[in-house]
Amino acid sequence: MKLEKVRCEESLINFLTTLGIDIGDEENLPFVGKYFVEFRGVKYEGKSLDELESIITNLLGTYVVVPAYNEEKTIGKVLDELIEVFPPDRIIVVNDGSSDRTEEIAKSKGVNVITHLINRGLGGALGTGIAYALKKNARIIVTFDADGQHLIEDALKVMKPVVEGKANLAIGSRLKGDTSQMPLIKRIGNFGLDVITAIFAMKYVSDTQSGLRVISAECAKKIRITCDRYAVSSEIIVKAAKNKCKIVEVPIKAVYTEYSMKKGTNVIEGIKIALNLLLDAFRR
Amino acid sequence: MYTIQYIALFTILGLMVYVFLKFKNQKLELSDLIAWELFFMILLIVSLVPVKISMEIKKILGLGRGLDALFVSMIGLAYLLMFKLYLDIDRIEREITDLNREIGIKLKEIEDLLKRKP
Repeated sequence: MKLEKVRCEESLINFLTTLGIDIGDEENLPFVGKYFVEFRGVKYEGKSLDELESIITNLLGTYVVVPAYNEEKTIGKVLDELIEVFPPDRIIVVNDGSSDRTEEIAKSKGVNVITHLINRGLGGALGTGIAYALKKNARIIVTFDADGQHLIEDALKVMKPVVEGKANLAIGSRLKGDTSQMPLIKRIGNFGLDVITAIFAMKYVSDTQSGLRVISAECAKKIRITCDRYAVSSEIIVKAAKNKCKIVEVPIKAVYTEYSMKKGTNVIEGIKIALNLLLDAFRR
Repeated sequence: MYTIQYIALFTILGLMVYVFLKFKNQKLELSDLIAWELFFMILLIVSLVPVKISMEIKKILGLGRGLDALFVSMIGLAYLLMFKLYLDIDRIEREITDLNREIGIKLKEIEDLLKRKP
């Protein structure tokens, strides 16, 4: 999150300057008060100055990974929104072998763009983004879809438990929030995949296929992504659960446009995901 | 011996020599050579005494005719091989992803280095 300049309570000025943070008084800046950081209505709270410091370092070390495959129609707008909240050098777009102008548009926004020479699927792209973020010493990694399905405010909300150190993996659940926009067929499909994931993970998550998730670096380091395609969403949950990472769900709202409906998982993908999870046992 | 047995014998012997030559040209690992030669050896024995072996399989599996038992076990074996192939392709897919990832990140790092230099 952009935290290089903040508004704050007077008693915290010294503390913030020692952390190298500038003080300003513009209305749209994040506000730092006694043991909390507030931005766009989301409050990251701690109990002591030490906890506040850890919240601030976590927020300063938050990287956003945006996997993108042929998303020229939406990626510009998504990145514009992200740049308002996150500095461009902490946004990583993984251009997964797109044949359109995705790479060009992303580069023009000044964000980090990593290009796959050939298309490897969602899992491949997420793996690359996470690996690069870890190389950059990220403390927290947010994954955000490039098709415009997520709201930036929701991302800030999902970040909360991980930033506060209360969880290692937070999943933005479209099913816990307002589901009015989610088509019935998607809801049924999602439920099927949730059940399959629950069997492997021994933990039930209400929206395993959500693209909006926040993961702490220590948990991300333990997860070795082996599923290249959509199975990765379930895989992350299964492996996080096996590595004893604490998983929480945060309700979010999914925006379904005609465009984002065409993308994403369908029944055949669902079967493939189940097969992939089964096959994972045989992988060395 | 039936004609089909002669054909089978020649084909299998040919394949055994082919696999050995591959190994000699260092296109095959020793473990693969042994596995394949063992497999062909079994096929060789089967083609030499098919009736006797099929009767034996029939006794063990309890399937109707001897030859049916042979077919069934061969189909089973083929499925096993297919599964191994599936696993191999899966491994190669993941290796391609790793390769892609490495190249992507390396290229990005080179780009960053070039940008930093005036």
